[in-house]
Amino acid sequence: MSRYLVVAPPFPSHIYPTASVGLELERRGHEVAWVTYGEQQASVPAGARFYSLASSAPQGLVEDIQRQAGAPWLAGMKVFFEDVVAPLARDMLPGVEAAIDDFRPDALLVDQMALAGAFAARRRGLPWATSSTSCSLIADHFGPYPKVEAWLVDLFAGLQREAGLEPVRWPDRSPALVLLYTSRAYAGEGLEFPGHYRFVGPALGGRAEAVDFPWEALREGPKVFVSLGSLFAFRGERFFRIVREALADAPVQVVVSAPAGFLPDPPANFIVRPWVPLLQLLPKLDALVTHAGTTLTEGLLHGLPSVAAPIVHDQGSFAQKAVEAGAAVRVGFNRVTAPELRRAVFEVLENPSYRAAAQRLQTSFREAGGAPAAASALEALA
Amino acid sequence: MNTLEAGKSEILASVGGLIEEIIGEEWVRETPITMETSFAQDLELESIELVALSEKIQQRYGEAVDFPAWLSGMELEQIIALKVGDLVEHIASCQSKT
Repeated sequence: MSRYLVVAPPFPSHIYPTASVGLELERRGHEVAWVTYGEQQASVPAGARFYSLASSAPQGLVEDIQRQAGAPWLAGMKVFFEDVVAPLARDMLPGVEAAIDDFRPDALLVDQMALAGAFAARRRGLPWATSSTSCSLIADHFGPYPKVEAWLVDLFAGLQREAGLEPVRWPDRSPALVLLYTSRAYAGEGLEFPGHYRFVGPALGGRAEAVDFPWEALREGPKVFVSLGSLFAFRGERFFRIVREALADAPVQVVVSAPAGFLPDPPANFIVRPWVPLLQLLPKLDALVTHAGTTLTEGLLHGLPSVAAPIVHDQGSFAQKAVEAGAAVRVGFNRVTAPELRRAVFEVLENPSYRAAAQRLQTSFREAGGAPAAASALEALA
Repeated sequence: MNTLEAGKSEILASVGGLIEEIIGEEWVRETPITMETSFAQDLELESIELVALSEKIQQRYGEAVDFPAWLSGMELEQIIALKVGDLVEHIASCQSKT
């Protein structure tokens, strides 16, 4: 039996798949521990062995992530890597190494944005795998902009030298195993990936959803779920207003996950809640309106098409893949008008090709193997 | 106004029209397009919209203006700071070479 240490950044959506994979490893008799910031303990399985780096992430980190939502595309990417990923790498390294010394893992599972885990594994000569929640950061993201890629390679090289390591080009990706929680079909059949990149599909089990929901308020007929995720929803004032204008009194029931105050006095066909038990709600839905984060994937896993309104840099390419597969219609987060949004929602609801394409991706996700496939790959690594 | 400046204001009007086709007239009504308009800060242009603009520039100006090659030579900071005026100047300089 082996011991695995999961190194995670303080982002719940990056921790959820590791929770699912970790539970599968434990079911097979292995021991798993997590190391991240204390405030994230609710995102790992209840009762799991947990090493807390500090109670919360460095001051300003969440603000910096949110700032990228105010900065479009490459400006946002610059903030994300310079002001979030790099400080995290420095801040997490001592605590991750302390966790290694105490837990003595055989291998590490390291989120792609938690570079400290990769650095610690290399410093200690331990095998490690990458846990990647965003295939767009793995693919040829900077193809048209070679100097932008050079900038990121430089930033990464500096961080590696600070950690006393000889720089490699992409220290965020393990040379032995990269787990991607999507399918080959979704990532793009035409793209080439190295053999140690494993497309295992979404790994969604193991998440606690202790949130109340007014199930009795759901009616017969089409139902659409609207969410901008948790990190960027604060930017949604205009978008939620457009949603209201587009769908108030439309022949569709609209469940919205929105911060309190964004949709006061909702129309009769709206249910508005700050949080919803999404995994329980998905089987009852017909389509999603989403910023194209993990919610889009969760919808596809249930064969649901989306209207995608990406907000920040990697969500754009993520949304685009669903569009190319025929499972989503893309609208501009800042630009969409109410009539356009209404047309897009009814297009994915009424044109059966979208649901058919979403179901093809659903099949590809299921065939990818999920957490058990990830666990098997990790067993081969330790 | 000399011929070169007249040419540039013509290019600005033309490029402005192409941008409006991509981002919509509602947006342009709120943010009129001038030489000083920034693609990132003012127009919040996404990467997919820049690709669309690149295709439209190619259609309008043909091979004389290689927009993708021009972009690919830029540093991160240059792309972030890019203004409509930079594109207009680039198109004008490409045309003066032909």
